[in-house]
Amino acid sequence: MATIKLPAVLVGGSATSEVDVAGDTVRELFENHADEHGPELKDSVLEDGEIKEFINVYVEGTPVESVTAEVPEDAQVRVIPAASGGR
Amino acid sequence: MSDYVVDESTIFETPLVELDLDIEADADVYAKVEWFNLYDAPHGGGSVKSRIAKGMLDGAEERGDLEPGVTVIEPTSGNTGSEIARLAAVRGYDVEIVMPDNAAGGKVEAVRDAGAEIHFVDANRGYDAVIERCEAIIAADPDAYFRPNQYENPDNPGTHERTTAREIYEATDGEVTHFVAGVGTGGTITGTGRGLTDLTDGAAEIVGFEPDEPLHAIDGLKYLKTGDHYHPDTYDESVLDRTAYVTTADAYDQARALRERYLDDAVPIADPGQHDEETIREHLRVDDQFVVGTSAGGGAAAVVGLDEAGELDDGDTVVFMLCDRGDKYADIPLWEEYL
Ligand SMILES: Cc1ncc(COP(=O)(O)O)c(C=O)c1O
Repeated sequence: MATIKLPAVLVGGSATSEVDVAGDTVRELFENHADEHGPELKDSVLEDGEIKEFINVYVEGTPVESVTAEVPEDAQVRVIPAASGGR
Repeated sequence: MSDYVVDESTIFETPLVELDLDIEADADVYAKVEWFNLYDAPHGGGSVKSRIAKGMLDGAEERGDLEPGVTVIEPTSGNTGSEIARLAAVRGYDVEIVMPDNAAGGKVEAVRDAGAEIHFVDANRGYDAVIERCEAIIAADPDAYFRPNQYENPDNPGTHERTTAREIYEATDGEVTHFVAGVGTGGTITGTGRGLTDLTDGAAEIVGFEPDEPLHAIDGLKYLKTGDHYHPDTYDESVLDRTAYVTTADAYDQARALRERYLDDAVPIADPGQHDEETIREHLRVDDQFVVGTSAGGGAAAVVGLDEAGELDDGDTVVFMLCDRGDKYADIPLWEEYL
């Protein structure tokens, strides 16, 4: 199981939450998350099955380029837009 | 005392350019080029936020809320931070800026250059966490800090009502029919919208646009569409005739389209504001290319969206904002072909 740190803006407010999801690749992880929790996170991150150009996905702190990137057991996964939504 | 120098007199009276967007209506589309505020400053000049940084600091000094020895602190994703840092440094104040750790590189550099201390907050925790961190820092020593507070300070919309609205009204000879701006604090759309509604006796349609998706990358804009998020006091939706929603993909496509449209053609200057043509030509482009920031692309996308919705007529005069220049975002993949 990997752990996805959910962006606070998807949770509401400024609290992040973590969710454990199974999957060997980035794609499997977001597909499995959508199956269990609904499509909001997957739709926020993927477009036509690829990572959106303005979304950075980090696996264990390292940015990954492709949905085929492997996700080790117990990895921490973070999702951050390339620019911030503040002012 | 800091020896940091910027020329505050270059703030306000920015140029208006005419832009050729891909729309059906035979409407004139103009954009206000906001990086001419402090255009000489490194890292892409200033931005729409130079206006309110000046407005909020002037207001606080006049009221005696900001006195020598106090540290100016503000939570921001960048533009407000760099502009407050620049102006406060010139006026001799220490500055602390609280930012998310995914803030655009050029903005971080601009804040650093001005000598401000930066507190970074994990971007994963979202923007509301940046505000909370700032509040916690102030709470630990309330007398040491002055927070302009762009989310609540009436001088934010007030500055736009006094300056941006009048500039647009005059530069279009009073003919503006649509004003389009993105919503971050909402200060631009609220203040400029109020001013233009007043000046045109309600004839100008005021259109605010917000990001369509929560995980967006249109810099400076706040997702408010669904869910429970902090709502800025400075955003008065009653001023708006219409709210539009823009995706990041469309905003980036429009920013790229503008760069391509003006690869070989000059951007027509409709009104130079306080600048001469030579200065405008020198600072309008970066490495000879017309690269605008992400929310400027969002503005173009909002105008195209209005046209697609049948909201624009032949003969209309539409004005939107180019809030900042694209070289602030050199670290995001917006113009790979140019970078
Ligand atoms: C690039 C950019 N565009 C748009 C905005 C939104 O402006 P406002 O806060 O007046 O709504 C900001 C605010 O920082 C910005 O930096």
